[in-house]
Amino acid sequence: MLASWLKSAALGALIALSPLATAADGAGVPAPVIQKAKGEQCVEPTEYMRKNHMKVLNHHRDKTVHEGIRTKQHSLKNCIECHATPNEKGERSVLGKDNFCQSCHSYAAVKVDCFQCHSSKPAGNGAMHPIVSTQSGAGSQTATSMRHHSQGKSPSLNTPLSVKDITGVIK
Amino acid sequence: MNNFEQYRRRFLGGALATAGAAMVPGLMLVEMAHSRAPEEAVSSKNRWGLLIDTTKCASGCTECVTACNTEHGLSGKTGPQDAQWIRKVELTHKKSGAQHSLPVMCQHCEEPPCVDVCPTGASFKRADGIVLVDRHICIGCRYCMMACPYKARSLVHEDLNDTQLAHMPRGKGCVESCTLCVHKIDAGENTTACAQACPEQAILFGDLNDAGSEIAQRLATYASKEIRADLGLNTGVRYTGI
Ligand code: SF4
Ligand code: SF4
Repeated sequence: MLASWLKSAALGALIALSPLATAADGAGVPAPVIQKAKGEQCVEPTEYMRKNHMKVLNHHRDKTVHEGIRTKQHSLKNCIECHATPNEKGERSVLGKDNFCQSCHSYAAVKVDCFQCHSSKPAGNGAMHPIVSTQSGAGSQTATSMRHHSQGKSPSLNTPLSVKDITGVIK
Repeated sequence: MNNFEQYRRRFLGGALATAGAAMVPGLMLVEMAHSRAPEEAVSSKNRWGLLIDTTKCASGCTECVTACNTEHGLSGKTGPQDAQWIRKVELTHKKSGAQHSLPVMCQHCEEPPCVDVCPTGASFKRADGIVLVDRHICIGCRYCMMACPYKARSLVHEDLNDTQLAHMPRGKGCVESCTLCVHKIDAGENTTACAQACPEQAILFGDLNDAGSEIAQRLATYASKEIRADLGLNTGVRYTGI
């Protein structure tokens, strides 16, 4: 009984201290920035793409990898070609705080895995730069950290709560 | 027309042979050489491969390795945890002392052990004989690396931090190997970075199934070898001079 009271008290304290507690400040998540892409019209109607781009991409990826079909219409490379815009470093990319993929995925809190392997930049743009990490793995950021980043609330590593503080409290 | 003649005509290509009288031979050749349309899937009509002439390959030369690294965005490092798609191997015959230098990459086996052992189906052979890893499915277990008799595969150990080239997605935790420059083949270029780079023209790329291709003709004319032919893998990469 006492133990469970302690547990909920500790949890309550955690939530109050946690940078995750955004509901209280009422500001909400900023709407994604949708940058103007090249051309007049997407390869499919915009409404359809908003809902289904992932299905379209998954279907095309299998066709490409296994059957060698490299039509442009639904290729990720082609998406990047049109939707890349200058990022903080001035390189055309779909990743970056206000750039096409990351901006929306941050808003929706959906992790985007594509760019762990695929280049986020169009061919011939910054593709040949040396193999050094320029930022802490923009491609592999989790959605949560992306969202925090977009809200200017990146959780600090120096947060006063450490594992040591809570061990033994929560069983 | 007797039965045999009918059979012969069918064998020679059915309708084409009947219309053949009005057709110039050159026209047919053009038709056969015509490359695949972008929306057309690869098929077993082709089997891509390499023929490497080890008598031309110079000891110490690494032009093909460098070209491969540049083409695919590999670091070029050769440590135990670095990805290498081609290795130069130096051979010395024990008795005669004869020396050979040869590039060894994925041999694009017809019966690939890497595909047999893959638990997820990530390691696969395309209809046109190119053996690839579907990185979307690979779990990085490295069974295929153990199974490959040619040490052709590497695991990407570290995050590549968006330094990949647009045409060559690669990523941490996935196994990779020579793709036979599949992006070039699909673009209809019909060559590989290593074949283009070799200053001695020791590497010949081509379609083993096309009897008219230079590679098929050379294979039909000169003795060639598969490395570890005893394994019966029927490799797509063949060597002469060893
Ligand atoms: S050489 Fe190795 S990686 Fe290439 S197909 Fe054969 S077994 Fe697979
Ligand atoms: S490492 Fe990847 S490709 Fe190789 S056997 Fe495992 S899942 Fe298959």
